Amino acid sequence: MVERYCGNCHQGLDAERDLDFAALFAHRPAPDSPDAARLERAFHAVRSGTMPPADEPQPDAAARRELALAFGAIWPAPAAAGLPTMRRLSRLEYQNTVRVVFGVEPPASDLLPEDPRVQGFDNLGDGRALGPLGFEQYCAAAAQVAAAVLAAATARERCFPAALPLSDSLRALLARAFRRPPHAAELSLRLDLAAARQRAGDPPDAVLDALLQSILLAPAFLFRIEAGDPQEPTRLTGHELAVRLAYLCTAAPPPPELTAAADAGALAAPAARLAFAQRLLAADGGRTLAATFFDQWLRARDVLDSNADFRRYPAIWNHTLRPSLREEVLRLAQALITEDLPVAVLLEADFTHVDATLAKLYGLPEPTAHGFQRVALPDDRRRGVLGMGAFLMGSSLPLRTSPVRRGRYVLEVLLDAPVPPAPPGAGTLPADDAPVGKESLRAQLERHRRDPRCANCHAAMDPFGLLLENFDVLGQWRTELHGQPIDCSVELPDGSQARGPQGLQQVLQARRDEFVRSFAKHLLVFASGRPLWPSDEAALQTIVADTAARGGRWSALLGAVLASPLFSHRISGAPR
Amino acid sequence: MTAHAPARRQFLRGAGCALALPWLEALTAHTPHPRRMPPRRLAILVMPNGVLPTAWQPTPAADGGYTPSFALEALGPRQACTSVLTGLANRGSFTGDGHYAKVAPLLTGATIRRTGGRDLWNGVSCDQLAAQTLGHATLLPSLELGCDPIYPVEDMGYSTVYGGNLAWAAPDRPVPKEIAPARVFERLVAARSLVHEPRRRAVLDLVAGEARSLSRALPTRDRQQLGAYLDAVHALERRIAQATTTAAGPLPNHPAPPPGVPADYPTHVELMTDLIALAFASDSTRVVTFLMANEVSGRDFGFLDGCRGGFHDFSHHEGKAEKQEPYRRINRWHVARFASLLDKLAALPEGDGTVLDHSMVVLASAMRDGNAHDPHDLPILLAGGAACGLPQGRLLAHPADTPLCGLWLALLQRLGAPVEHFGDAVAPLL
Repeated sequence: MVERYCGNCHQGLDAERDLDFAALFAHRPAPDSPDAARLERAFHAVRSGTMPPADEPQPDAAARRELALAFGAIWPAPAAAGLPTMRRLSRLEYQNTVRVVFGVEPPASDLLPEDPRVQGFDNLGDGRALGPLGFEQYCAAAAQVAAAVLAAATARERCFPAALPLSDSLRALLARAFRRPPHAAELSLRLDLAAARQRAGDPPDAVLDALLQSILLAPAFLFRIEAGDPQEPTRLTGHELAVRLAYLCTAAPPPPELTAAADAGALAAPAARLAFAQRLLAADGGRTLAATFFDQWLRARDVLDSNADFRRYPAIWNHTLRPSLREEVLRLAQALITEDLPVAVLLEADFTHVDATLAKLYGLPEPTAHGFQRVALPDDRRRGVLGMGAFLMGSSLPLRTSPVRRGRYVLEVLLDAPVPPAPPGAGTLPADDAPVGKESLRAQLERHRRDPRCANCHAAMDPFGLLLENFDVLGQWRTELHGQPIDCSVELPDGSQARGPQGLQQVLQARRDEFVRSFAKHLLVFASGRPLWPSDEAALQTIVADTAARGGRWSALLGAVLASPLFSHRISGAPR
Repeated sequence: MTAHAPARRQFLRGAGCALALPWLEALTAHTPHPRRMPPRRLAILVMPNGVLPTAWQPTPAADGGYTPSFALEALGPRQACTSVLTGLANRGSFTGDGHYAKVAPLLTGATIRRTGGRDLWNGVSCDQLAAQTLGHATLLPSLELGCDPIYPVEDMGYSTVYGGNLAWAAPDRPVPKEIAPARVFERLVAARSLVHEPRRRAVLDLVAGEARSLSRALPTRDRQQLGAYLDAVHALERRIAQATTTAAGPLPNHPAPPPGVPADYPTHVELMTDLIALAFASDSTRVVTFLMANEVSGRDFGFLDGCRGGFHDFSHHEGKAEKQEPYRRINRWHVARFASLLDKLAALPEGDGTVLDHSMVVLASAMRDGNAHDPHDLPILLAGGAACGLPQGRLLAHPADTPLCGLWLALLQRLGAPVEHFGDAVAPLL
């Protein structure tokens, strides 16, 4: 297969771009080597259709999957690729956990250590190691929470029930706080601590305060530690599965019934995992998952930092505009979850949710009530997230739209086709779309694309963005720009013609499997806390196939993800 | 700016661009503390997105000094104590595209690993080396300051984390910075009130012991996470011990900065430089890094005449005058903030001179011309430190690509750190 489609150019001593598949398949490249990097680029290129080039015979979708699998199978995974790095609770997770475990209001989020977004998400372990400053912040937070518990009768009773001896109440509290039954030493050390403090003459509340702080500062509280099943370390224990499920769906610890299921070993069954996930999601209408995973995957929150020029686009003076645009995306995600819609609805929804601000922005009838309402979209130009201001505005510059950024979003977010960085000295387009001389922005972009160093990537990115040129910086429909009619017809890399946002919708319809794969992949990174590698391709393809076989709805995708070893195991992917 | 309580307004009246704040005057009245030898200190300020070379390069003068360029004119009278260093570069940053590959190794001299977040790899930064070897003398071994949270974007395949951290305690461990002035202030205050409480000690011992025992059964990356956790616990224990044994200088009575992150950028930077002066004058720490904005900052400098637009966009000026003009004005603004910090330090008497005489203060950027992401001939200013033997007001031209690490090594040695080489430098530059 590889020889048939790639061998013409990439074989032998004169192989193009030093990519010689005959050699790579004969001797697997070393991890982190230049060959491994070339192989990874080839993997993405065949998957997303940029290779083989248009003038060579084109593999069909099945053949592309097979090529990707072949490359993934010989791709050398780095050491411990299948292991997530231990995750520190995000600010939101910390706050929710404090609420659930101790029954008090947590400290404000900006008093907790910062959550850099790594690989697109703010709750992964990589790159988020705790420093001295962060630990001090946790100390201050622990003191605050402990004081709040001791000051509130209900919280106090929740943590240290008067009817129970200290050892019993402590065991129950530790099990909640650590999201698993405590080890013997974890209990006995704390009982020793309490006894020692009593002997030292501490008043009873000071003793309880020390106990609470010893829980709030413990690594088992601050981190999500996964050690695996002692008998079979690649498998997560029931409690670890329960924690993954609960934090995925609610950014909070497992509720008692989920813990009970973990105790009973029931979570080994994928159907049970799905049932619990759906119950957790139903409890808050999918709000938490929308505001964590979907918000970050679809980059909805990025619109909050959008800085459209207020002189040209006075509508952004309205301070509710940007938050409302973000909310529109979250509402679509919640509809997907609560109504179990087909996952394609994210791209195709013929309805949306608007408040008065958005109705005005989109030129829709004013809503009849305060707040957000679902409305049908009157025409087929605006569909799904690509018709939403959060994306259209979030991808724009202050004084113009950016077809390049919009195209890149389609590739990276929706199709998981990473775009390599621009080469040094690639040049930039003007900041403003007001025509300079006679050349329009589009003409300049086309000239840029003729530069052979730029052509490969821009040929894939720009057309998608140009198809959306009728949406201005704010996402409002326009038909002309500075007096010139907008030309939204493009030639796609495969030579076919497309026109307007409807044209982009058709392209994405034909690439539905790639969208489902991207959705599942991002959800798995968020749920499992590790990057996915080319060597995980087989497992991902199974999820895509299962999702389609079960009807392509949200529950089908969620079920396939939760059933995958990528979710339930710590090491997976192709064996080395 | 949003509306504020009167206390904040009162505070801000003193801030802005005033040279000596009311509380700095109060501070002056409290210092110097009785001390045999004033301590030596290091502050490194980093500005993002490079400079316009023509606006930066000064003209040599016959006496070894220089006639300031457009940007350096902002030094004003502080030119007398500020040297311009040319020809320096960080070899570690020659490979790797984009901004992050240049700024992350600026203080380490390493070549960073290109990764989206897993297995970060850099070197140990010079400020952290100083903190690790000399930090035991002060309440806080070092202070890491900034103005921006970590941006959520990767740059050319380099993790978000590389773009927002100058200080690295270990190759895999960035040291997060504090961006809220009020919290920096609280930390300085809290550092003084830490007392040795047996109860806190017992709690810290317990959790540290748990981290150690959990560590045994876990794979490498998890052990590294717990290692960082343990180091953080020990850092706090050391600070508690320090607070009980060190006779720290008093923190003068003055209003705390307003809570939160100031919406107005000039105010934000001004408050941070106030806090550097406060931390030095009260001997709370002797090592500070201040990332004035994260690399690739697109901040709108509309508060400067003719600078409406994005900073990063202006830095890619492509030789066009309409972009170069705002770019050089923004460069000059950064130099002015640096000069303002020098003014504040110079206003604080200490020993036979001022705090500035005992403070080595650097302004640097991780690239020269932002248009080309040029890693050669980095823009570096070195000021103060007259009592540490630093040259004053010179133009110090070095051969092309002289290791920047030689400067860090020289400053480390002047601080008293027992180091013989650093990064790619085997001999001190000065």
